[in-house]
Amino acid sequence: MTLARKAAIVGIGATEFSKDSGRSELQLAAECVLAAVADAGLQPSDVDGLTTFTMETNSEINVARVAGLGDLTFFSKIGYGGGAACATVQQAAMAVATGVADVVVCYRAFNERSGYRFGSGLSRSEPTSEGIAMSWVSTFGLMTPAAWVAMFARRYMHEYGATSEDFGRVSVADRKHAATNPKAWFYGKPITLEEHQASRWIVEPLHLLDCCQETDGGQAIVVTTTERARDLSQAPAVVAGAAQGAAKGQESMVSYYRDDIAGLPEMGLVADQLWAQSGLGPEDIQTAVIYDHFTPFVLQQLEEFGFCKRGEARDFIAGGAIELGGRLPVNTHGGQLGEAYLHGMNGIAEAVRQIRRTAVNQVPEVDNVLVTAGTGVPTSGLVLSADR
Amino acid sequence: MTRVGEVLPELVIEASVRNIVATAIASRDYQDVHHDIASAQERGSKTIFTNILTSNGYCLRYVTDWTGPEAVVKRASIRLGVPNYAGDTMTMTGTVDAVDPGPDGELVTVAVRGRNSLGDHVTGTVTVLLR
Amino acid sequence: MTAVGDVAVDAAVTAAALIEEARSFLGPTPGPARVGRDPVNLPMVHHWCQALDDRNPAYVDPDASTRGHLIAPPGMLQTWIMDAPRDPSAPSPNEEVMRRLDAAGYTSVVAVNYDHDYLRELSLGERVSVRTYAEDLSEEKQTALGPGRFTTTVYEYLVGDEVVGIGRMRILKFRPPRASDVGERVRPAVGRDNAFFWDGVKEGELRIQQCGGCGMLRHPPAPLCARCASTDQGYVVASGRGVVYSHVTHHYPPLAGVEMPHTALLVELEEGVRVISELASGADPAQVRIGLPVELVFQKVPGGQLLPAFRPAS
Repeated sequence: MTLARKAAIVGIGATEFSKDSGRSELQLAAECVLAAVADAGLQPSDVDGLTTFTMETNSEINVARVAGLGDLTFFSKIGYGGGAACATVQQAAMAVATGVADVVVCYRAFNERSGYRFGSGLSRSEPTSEGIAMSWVSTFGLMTPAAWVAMFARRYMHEYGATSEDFGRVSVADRKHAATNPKAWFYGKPITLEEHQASRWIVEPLHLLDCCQETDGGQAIVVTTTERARDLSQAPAVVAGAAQGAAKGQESMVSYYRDDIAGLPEMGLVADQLWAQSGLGPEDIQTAVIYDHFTPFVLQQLEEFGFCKRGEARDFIAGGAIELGGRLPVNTHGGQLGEAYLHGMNGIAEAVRQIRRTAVNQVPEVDNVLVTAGTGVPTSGLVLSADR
Repeated sequence: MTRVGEVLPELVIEASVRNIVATAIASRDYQDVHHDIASAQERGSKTIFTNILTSNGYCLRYVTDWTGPEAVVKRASIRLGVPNYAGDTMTMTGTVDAVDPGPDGELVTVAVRGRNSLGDHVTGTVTVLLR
Repeated sequence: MTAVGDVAVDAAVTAAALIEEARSFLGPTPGPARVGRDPVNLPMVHHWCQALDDRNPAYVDPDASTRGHLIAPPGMLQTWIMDAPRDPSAPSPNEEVMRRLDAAGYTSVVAVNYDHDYLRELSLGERVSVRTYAEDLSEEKQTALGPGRFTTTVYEYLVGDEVVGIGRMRILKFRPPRASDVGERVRPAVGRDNAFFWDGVKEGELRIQQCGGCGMLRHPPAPLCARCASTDQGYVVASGRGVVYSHVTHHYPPLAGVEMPHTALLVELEEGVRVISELASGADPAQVRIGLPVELVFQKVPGGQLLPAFRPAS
């Protein structure tokens, strides 16, 4: 019994990506869900399952009611911020593979720039076990995602000799790809490594250009069985592997108490499952969408997935390997630094476009794409494959 | 005869709360940072600390302890560094910097330094006339 | 945006005008000297000598020196005029300068130099008076304490019309980053599983949970031991010594109760567990590096909360 290749992504839909959407988060959610359903060649009434994030403010029933979806037989929310992104597809795939639902839409919509901004810092703490856990850091002024990641980044630099320039190369690659993607916020605006280095400190060792954008928008993904997918309008992006991971000593963003904090063991756990499920390995992947809320963790992820050895990601990326034309083009849509910050969901859509071979920055001969979800938190990942 | 380079014996001064308060009041300095720990902390200091008149007074005392009562203090020039907080200990050291003959006797200039756990609290020179 | 910019421009214009005004008060001006409350007297000399433990007999024993009479400790020169009442309607030129520096935002003061020429010794019964004025006023300088201006106050000490001493105090008037500007630091969420830790902080102890079943030390603490499942959890008090395991310096965005830039530390305690804490105020962030030995201090953060912090080990 395996989940591999039982389900496929058959529709993708998004709103525009902006800094001020001018409409409610619920409207954004309904718009992107309907766009994705239309892309799949389905009707709203065909949808009988929804998955989203615990951080999503638009509940499944509100979205279903507003968007005119059918009766729901499956609905679920996944925790840990952006770590949920690929897991929404995993849960959808499990639901359709087991017959719990036929068509499941995964969605995420927010006004993360014009409304509540995640980077503004924790302001209160409740005496729940989660509140108590965050108090160990927030009380000492370690209060933003950038700061939490910077603590890992400093240690990684110390252990492996990585530099701020190495982090900057991720930013340069993302912005290079965004520059030729008309949907990207930073369309037509590439940056140089010098500009990265000159950008102001947010939390040392992270510069402004190590940090992703803040975005208003919505993104939805339609999942059904691979069998049904073959009868629909789009070429299916088959879910060859889908996995979640929370590793020993896991905390949310602040797993500072493990023996080694220079790696991402939860992503290693996802990697092991994805390779085992799909029967594929790093050498089979033509392009990847690597979660990039902050640049440093892109390096650790390349290591956890075995694209290079531990501590050697800086060498791997040094020669432009993660840019278009390189060994492993990463975030060909521009990533969350260049295109939009949609909690990783826009990256899944880009992977689907690469499989369909319709991406604006299309990588030649794509058969398999790796997608990862939020880092520093319990996370998830996908391998999508062409049905050829 | 006093010679340039002569080293004065060290003097250790406890910066106890009692000493800081007593010396501030003896110099009629009623600023709260020299006697009220809570006020000093509110103003961003670790605790109460020695006032300037006293730091200057310690420099003069350090030199006249060495010269004896006949010395006439002519000049003092001190630079203030880190605070001398209650609970710390300041060690005074000194070296004869210059000896100049004059009509009334020798003008002896001593380079003094008061150092505590945070660094130099006071550095400078004290000039006395020795007849 | 425009409104904010205009206010900033207005403030800058006002400050420049105040500095110009302040400069007009520089230099000595004729006028009555302020007279000390008490003449040079033996009780105050005794008080000084006892407080400073100054045993020079010239101050207290008339037979101890060839002078044949008592002299005042020269270090007391300013003391003789310290608390003399002032006429608020006739501020000294020096006070005029200080008022304008305060109004221009340089509200804090720290003394830098204190120089004296003791022109003659003082005897009991002499009444000291003083004329004070500001001698100079620097351009704005960037200092470790904040932007500020240096100014020198001259104290001309007189007995009658005779100048008996000249004092010069060079001070920095500066604009401090004020704790009250940043609001209050968030308080920790306290529940059954972590109350012992925060109780310890109140008492100036950094407590590490120790399992009563297997003795394992653990941070963050937990209600039961992941190794032996014991629910008998005690604690030990950390020695306070450790090394920096990692560190960050926060610049943006502003955070309630946090002075920027703010250095947070991941410290590996010598007991073997790691804790998140912060760099003690006053310590130099540029000194911080991974592996730096540090020691525990307790300090109040904006809002008045007492927290453990670490500074480079002495």
